[in-house]
Amino acid sequence: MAAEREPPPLRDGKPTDFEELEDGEDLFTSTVSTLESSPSSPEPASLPAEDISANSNGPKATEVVLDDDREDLFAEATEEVSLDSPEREPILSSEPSPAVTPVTPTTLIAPRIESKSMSAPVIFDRSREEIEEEANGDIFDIEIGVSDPEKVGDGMNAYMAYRVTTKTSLSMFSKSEFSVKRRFSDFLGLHSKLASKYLHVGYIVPPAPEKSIVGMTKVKVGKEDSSSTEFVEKRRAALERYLQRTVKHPTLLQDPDLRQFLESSELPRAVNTQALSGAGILRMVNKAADAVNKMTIKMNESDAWFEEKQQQFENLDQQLRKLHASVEALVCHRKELSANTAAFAKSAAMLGNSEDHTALSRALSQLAEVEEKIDQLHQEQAFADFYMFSELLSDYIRLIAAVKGVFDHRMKCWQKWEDAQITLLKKREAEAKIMVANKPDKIQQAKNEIREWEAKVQQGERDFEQISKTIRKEVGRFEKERVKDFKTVIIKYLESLVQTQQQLIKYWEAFLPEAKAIA
Amino acid sequence: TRACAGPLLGAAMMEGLDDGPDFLSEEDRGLKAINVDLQSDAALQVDISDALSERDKVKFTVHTKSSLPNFKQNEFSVVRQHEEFIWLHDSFVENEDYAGYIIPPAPPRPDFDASREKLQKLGEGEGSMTKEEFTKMKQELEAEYLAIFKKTVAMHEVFLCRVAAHPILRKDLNFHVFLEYNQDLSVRGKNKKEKLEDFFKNMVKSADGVIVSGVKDVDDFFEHERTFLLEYHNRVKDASAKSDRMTRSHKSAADDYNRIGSSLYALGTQDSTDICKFFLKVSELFDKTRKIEARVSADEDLKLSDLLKYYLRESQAAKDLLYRRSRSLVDYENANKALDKARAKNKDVLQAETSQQLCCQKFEKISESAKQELIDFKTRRVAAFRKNLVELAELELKHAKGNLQLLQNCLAVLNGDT
Repeated sequence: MAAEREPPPLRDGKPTDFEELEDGEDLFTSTVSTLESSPSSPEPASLPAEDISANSNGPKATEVVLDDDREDLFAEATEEVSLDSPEREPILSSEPSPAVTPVTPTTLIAPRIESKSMSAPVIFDRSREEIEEEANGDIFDIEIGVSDPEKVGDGMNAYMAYRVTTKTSLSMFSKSEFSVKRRFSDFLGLHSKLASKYLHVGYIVPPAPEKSIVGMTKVKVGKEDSSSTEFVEKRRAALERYLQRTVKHPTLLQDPDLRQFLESSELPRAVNTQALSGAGILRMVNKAADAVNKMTIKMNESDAWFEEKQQQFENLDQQLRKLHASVEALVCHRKELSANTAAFAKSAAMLGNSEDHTALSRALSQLAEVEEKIDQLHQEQAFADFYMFSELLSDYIRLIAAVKGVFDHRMKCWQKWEDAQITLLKKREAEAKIMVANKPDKIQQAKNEIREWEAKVQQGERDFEQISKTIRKEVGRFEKERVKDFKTVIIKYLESLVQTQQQLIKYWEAFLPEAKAIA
Repeated sequence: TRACAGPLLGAAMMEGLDDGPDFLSEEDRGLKAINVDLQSDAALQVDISDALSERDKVKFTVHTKSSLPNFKQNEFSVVRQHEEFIWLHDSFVENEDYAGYIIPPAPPRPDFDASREKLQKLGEGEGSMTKEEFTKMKQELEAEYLAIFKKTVAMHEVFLCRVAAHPILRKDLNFHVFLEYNQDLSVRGKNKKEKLEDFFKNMVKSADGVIVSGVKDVDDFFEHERTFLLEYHNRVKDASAKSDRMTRSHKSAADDYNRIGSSLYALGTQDSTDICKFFLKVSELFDKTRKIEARVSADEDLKLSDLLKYYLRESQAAKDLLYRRSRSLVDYENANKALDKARAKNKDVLQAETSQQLCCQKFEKISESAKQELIDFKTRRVAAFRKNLVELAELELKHAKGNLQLLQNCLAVLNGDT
């Protein structure tokens, strides 16, 4: 039942980085890295090759397309698995849980490019706090933007390329501003690498956005409707948030793979990220095996902190899912409201036309115009509902899955240590037997084995303590980030609601004298 | 008017209403004010002073104050049910003498089915939600029930007031019986056979209507009115349906705020970090803003949807009037033809002459009163739309400002804390 135990590749070629940071980490925990969506992306859905006809003046695209972002069957964080690499632990069980994805039709109306640039809102704004910290000479400064989605190639081999722009004053980068082109599988590849290096030692690696066979197929096939535009925008925003979260992590920021991802113009293709590859199947099998393993590990938890935290995260997960469902319903209804308002506006205009009392006729036409503007407002609000509120929640639901995964790794680590202790005991017993049976040739071997396993026990204990320590720190950092994140985004969301109300007031104030003018 | 729903909900519901005393009076004013010209004078004042909702019927207490000699007393009340209103309305429609008037449209049947079903479902699902959520939803549904109830009371009242305000209809004998006779009028609802007859009558009428409306009218006024009404009626119908859908979407969104508020509250009470205060504040915000959004939806429903629905029915009544007039014109023209024929054959001339004269008189009588009715209709319509649109705009402003205030206050607190 025990999966293959290989010595955990803790110091996977980055010993110094780790150690230094563990103490210096505190430097960064209170910093909010100044991350803004790149200003060079005013038109989020600018697909140069495509005609964005979704912004027609006609009736809203009410096609209820099941933009099924639900995970494909073999959903996991992908990895470059070279199957004979002894260093990799093939089991990456801390995948983002697939059950999160929305099932309700989320046909977001494409952003109205003519009226205003509605890129997914600037979430990580520079607060007063950050600016102060910068002034204090704190130079943790890096901004990532993902923009300009561009379709490359044709047919089923086509893919979307995104521009990843980095602005930074950090010295580890050779330039202060640079950009590269990346495709979705590159992001997945990055995550896979980071996950394989850091997850099993207790670091909470932000999960990458989810794959979507349905969504991507439509884009590949060249279906240029509003739902594929929305899909691309949704993905672009998600990729941006993913990178921003990843660079915020002080340890991950130091990783050369990450730097390579951001900087180098050519990136080796992340193979084996495809769902139906041999690696994909292997992942699935491993995941199943993992689930069985998890159930059977009975850990003697000596530290109540961990038990408590796990329970807390479990609760948080449930609550967030519930909230997410409600917010999704809101997005849906808001879009419905927008569509119905538009329909009513048209109807009112017609009514105004047939009304034979001149002043009333005019007032009804004005009413129709007001309602049309309000419809626009509803659309924008639905946009905000989704990109700020709903996506925040779904991001965190996946993040918490990553956190849970880290706890699971700790359990496995403990199991390993435990197993080593048991084996050591067995070896000692065997040695005792040999002593009694007086077989001198075997004694040396037994003593060697005992030494070997003593070392393993020590290592196991060290590893366990290490991962526990790391997790504590990580959870602390995560919680701080979570609090900040939620506060920032929710406040931004409320501000969007404020704007909507202000606009409403303007519109109705303009209409009132028209209504009063009916004589 | 006071309205109290019966055993199903209990008096506690009245307190469950939103804060803001406006809710009651605005709504009452609203519907009555759809017809602005209902100056109730001392001669005859009618209102519905009370109503009781029972299992499957509503009992309205019709209260009359009158100085007319027709009635035994100056002030009296009777209890009436919906069927009796319909009976009264139908008696007007079937009365040849009233052919030349716009018959005030009958009030729609009280329909609590949807609301009752929701309450029942809530009761069944009580185990699956927290006590807090359950209370919230119950309050919401009760308020909805109450709103529907008040609306149906208002619509029945408007019907009576329109009749009472009409110079001719107010003198109708059936009307007086309706108001005064304090026993059950025993007007059973139409049985299947009668309903079928009605159905055929309507079919014939609409087929007829097509034929009759093909006849071009010599009178410009009526020609214009016919063209106008046909188009107007259809567009009002469409606008009414769309407005309905819009207000319902609004309400759905408001309901979502409710659930979001509850979820945030749960998050706030469970969270271990200092964000719990934050969540609780935002939860509170959502609860409050939801009340406002629900009110927006309700007001839009009243000022817009109900207005359009009412004028849908009134414009139908006006169309019916035009139809009756056209019918009598056709009869008149046929009588003319018959007379010519009779004169040509020199047979039954006198009979034909009398018949022709009667038709002529009927047609002219209808035309005269119809003209006035249609002019009044326009006046009423314009006034009603003006009043309601102004009130709609004012209410929307009031609510938007309230919402804005709420949001800004909340943001101030949240930003101050962070």
